[in-house]
Amino acid sequence: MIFHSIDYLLFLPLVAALFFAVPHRWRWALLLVASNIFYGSWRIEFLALLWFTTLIDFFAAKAMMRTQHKVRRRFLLIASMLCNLGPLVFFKYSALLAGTTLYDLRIGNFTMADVILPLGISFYTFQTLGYTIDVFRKKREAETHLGIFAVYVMYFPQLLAGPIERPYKLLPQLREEQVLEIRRAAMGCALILVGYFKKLVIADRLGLMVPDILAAPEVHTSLTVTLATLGAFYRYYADLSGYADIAIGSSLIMGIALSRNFNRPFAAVSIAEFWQRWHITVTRWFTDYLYIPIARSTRIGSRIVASMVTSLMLGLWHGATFAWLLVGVLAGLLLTAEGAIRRQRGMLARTRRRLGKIGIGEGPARMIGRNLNRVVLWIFLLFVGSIVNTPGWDQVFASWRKIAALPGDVLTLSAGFGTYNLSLLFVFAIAAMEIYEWLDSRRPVFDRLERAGALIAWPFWWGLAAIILVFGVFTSSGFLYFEF
Amino acid sequence: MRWSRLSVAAFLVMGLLVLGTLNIAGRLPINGPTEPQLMKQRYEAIAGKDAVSLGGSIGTAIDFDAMCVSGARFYNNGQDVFETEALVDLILSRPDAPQIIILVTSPASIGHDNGLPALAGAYQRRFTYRFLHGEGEFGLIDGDLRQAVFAEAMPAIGHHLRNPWHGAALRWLGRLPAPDVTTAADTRSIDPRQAEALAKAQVTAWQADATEIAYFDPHVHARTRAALLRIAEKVEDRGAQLVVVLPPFIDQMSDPLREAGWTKIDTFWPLLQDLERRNALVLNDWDNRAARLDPSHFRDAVHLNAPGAKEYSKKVGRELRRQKLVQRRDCK
Repeated sequence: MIFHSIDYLLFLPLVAALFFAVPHRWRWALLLVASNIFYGSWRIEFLALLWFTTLIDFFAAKAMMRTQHKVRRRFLLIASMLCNLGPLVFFKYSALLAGTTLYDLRIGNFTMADVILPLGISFYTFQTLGYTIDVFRKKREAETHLGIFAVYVMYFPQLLAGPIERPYKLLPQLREEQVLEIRRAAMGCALILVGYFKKLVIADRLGLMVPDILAAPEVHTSLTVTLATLGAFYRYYADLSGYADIAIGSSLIMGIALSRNFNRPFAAVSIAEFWQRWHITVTRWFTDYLYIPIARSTRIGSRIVASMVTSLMLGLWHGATFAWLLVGVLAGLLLTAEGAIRRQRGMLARTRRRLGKIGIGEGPARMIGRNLNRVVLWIFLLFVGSIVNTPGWDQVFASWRKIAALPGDVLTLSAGFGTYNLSLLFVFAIAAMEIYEWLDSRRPVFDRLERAGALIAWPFWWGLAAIILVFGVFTSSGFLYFEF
Repeated sequence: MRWSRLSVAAFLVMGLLVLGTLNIAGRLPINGPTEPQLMKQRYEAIAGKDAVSLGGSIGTAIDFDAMCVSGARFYNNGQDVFETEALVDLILSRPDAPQIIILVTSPASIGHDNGLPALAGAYQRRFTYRFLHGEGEFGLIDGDLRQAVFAEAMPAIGHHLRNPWHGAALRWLGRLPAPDVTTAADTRSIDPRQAEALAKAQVTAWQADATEIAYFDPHVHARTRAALLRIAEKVEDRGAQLVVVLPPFIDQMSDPLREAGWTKIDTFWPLLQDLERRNALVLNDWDNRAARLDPSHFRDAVHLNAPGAKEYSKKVGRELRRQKLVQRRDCK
C-alpha cells in the first residue's frame, strides 16, 4: 500500500480508530494484522520473506539468550546474518548485474531481469539485524513475545522505508498502553500533510523535470542545468523526508513516536555533518554496527578504513548502481580528508594566527572556514545530483561543462532565469520548505500556529491541503525509497 | 487553542468546505468542456452511426471519413482496456448500437490498469466513472470499487484542476486565444531528425510503465487479456463485428523494440489469434513494414496525426470492404 493512495487514506483512520477501540492486550494483534494487510496488498508472496526474517531473528535471539557458549552464540549470529543479508544481496544487488552477461542468464522461464525488489527489504533487514546484534552483544534481552516482536519488524508506518528503529525505542512503546490524545493526533496529521507537500508538490514535480533536463543538458542554459542538478538532490530529499514525515505522523496518531530521520541536511557545514543530518537512523545504524567495530578492530589507518567502508556501504545502500557506488567512494574520501584536516590542530592554529595578522579575527576566520566547508559540500551535492539522475557519462560531463559555465554566464548576464517551471518551483515550493523547516527547527510550526489560534492555524493547514491538491503531481506510482 | 471534540468537528467541517469547493471548481466547464462532458459529446455522436472506434489515445489512427464509413470516434486519452470494456457494454446496451466496433490498441495496452493505486491513469478511471454515472451506469470497472466510490466525492486533482483555471485566467488577461473544441484535427508532425530519439524514448517509457505496473500487480497481463477476450465475446453475442486495429508506428521504433527484448509483449500475439477465433477481424500493422508511413504522418513515435490517420484509414477502409463488412460508398 502506498502512502499517497486512496487505500492508505482509508486504511490509516480505520486502523487508528480500531487501535483505540480494542483493549490494550489485543493491540499488538491489530497492528500485526494491519501491517500484514498493508504489506500483502502489494504482493502477498513477499509476506513469506518478511515472516522468514522475523522468525529467524526471533528464535536466533531467544537461543542466544539461553546459551552462554561463545561459539554457539557466534554461530547463531552468523546464521541470522546470512539469512537476513542473503535475500537482501540477492534481490537488491542483482540489479547491479544489469547490462552484464549474467543478467541475460536464463534458466527455464526465469531470468535475472524478472527479479523484483521486495518493498522495504533494506529497512526491515537492518532493523532485525540490529536487534540480533544487540542481543549478541548482550546490550538487551531477547523479546519473548513473538507477536510483539513481529509488530516491531512489520510495524506498517515504518515498514517500507524506515525510520529504522532500535529495539530499545520501539519495543517498549508497543507494550505501553497508549491513550487517544487529540492534540497529538492533530500533530501527526499536520506532519502527514507536510510529508505530502514534500512528496507530491516538490519531489514528484522535480521528477517530471529533472531527468529530462539532465538527459540532454547541452540544449539547456547553464542556470537550468545547475538548478536541475540541485533539484536532483532536492528531489531525493523531498521524497525521502516526505515519506519519513508521513510515517512519523501516521504513527504519532496512535501515540507511538518514531525517530526523526532528517534534520535540515542542507544546513550542514561539512560532509560529516551532512551525513549526521541525512537519513539519521540509517547513518546511526551504519555507525554503530559497521564504523565503530571496524575503527576499533583495525590498527593502522583504522578510521580511514572505517570511513571508506561505511561510506561505500551507505552509497550502495542508497542505490544498487555504479553511480551510487562512486558516490560512496567519493564521500569516503572527502570524509577522510575532512577528518585529517580537523585533526591538524597545529596547522589550523597557525592558519588562524596568520589570518589574525592580516586583521581577520577568530569569528570571521571561523566563518570563512565554515563557508569553505559549505562550498566543498555543495560541490559534492552537485556532483551527486549530476551522476545519479543522468543516463550516461556523456550527459554527466555535459552537465559539468554547463555548471562550470554558470559563473561566466552570470557575469555576462546571459544565464537567463532558467526553465520557467523549475525556477518557479525553487522560488516558491523549495523556498517554502526550507523556511518551514528552519522555523520548525527553532520552534515547531505546529506550536506556533496553535498559539496563534484557530483563525490562523486552520486556514493554514487546509490551505496547505488545497495547495497539495492543486499543485501536486499525482502520476507517480511510488517513492524513490522503494528502489532502496 | 483548546482541543475538544467540538473544535475537531468544526475543523473537519472547514475541511469539507475546502474539499467541496475544489470539487465544484473541478466540475465547472471553465475553459472549455470538462473531460466527462467531452466524453458525453463523443458518446452522443455515436447515434445513427454504423461504426464506432474505441481505445486509448492511439485511436487517433481512425478517420471514418477517409474510410468511407459512417462512424464516430469515441477513444479517450489514457483509457485502459477495462474502461474500454465498460464503454463497450454501454454502447452495446443502446438500441441503435453500431454494428462495427473498432478497437484500436497496441501490445503496450496489456500492461495497463488505471485502477492501480497512485498510477498515472487514476484520474482517467475517475473521469470514466463520472461519465458512466452521468449515463445512469453504476456498475464497477473490473471490480474497482474504490475509485467508483471516490469518483464523485473526490475533487479533480493536480493539473486537471489547475489547468482549466490557469487557461481561463490567461484568456481573461488576453494571453491565450479561446479554445476551439470543434476543430480537433491534429496536424502536428515530428521532426524526422528527432525520430530515432523519439522512438527510443517511447520504448523506454513503455518499458518503465509496464515494469512499474507489473511491480504493483504481476497479474495485470492476464487480467487485460481476459478483458479483451470478454469484449470480443460480448460483441459477438450481440451480433456485431469487432475489428481490432493495431496501427503502425514510425520506422525507427523497430530496432529499439527488438533491442529492448520486451518479452511480455510477445504474449500479445497469441491473444490476437484468440480474438480471431471469437470472430474478431484483426488488422495488425504494429510491426508491419509494408504499412509504414512517412514520419510526417505522426505527431510522435506512435500516434498518427490527422493526415496520417487519413492515409492509414484508407487502408483500413479497403480491408473492411474486402471483408464485406461495409458497403462500397462513393468517397470524396
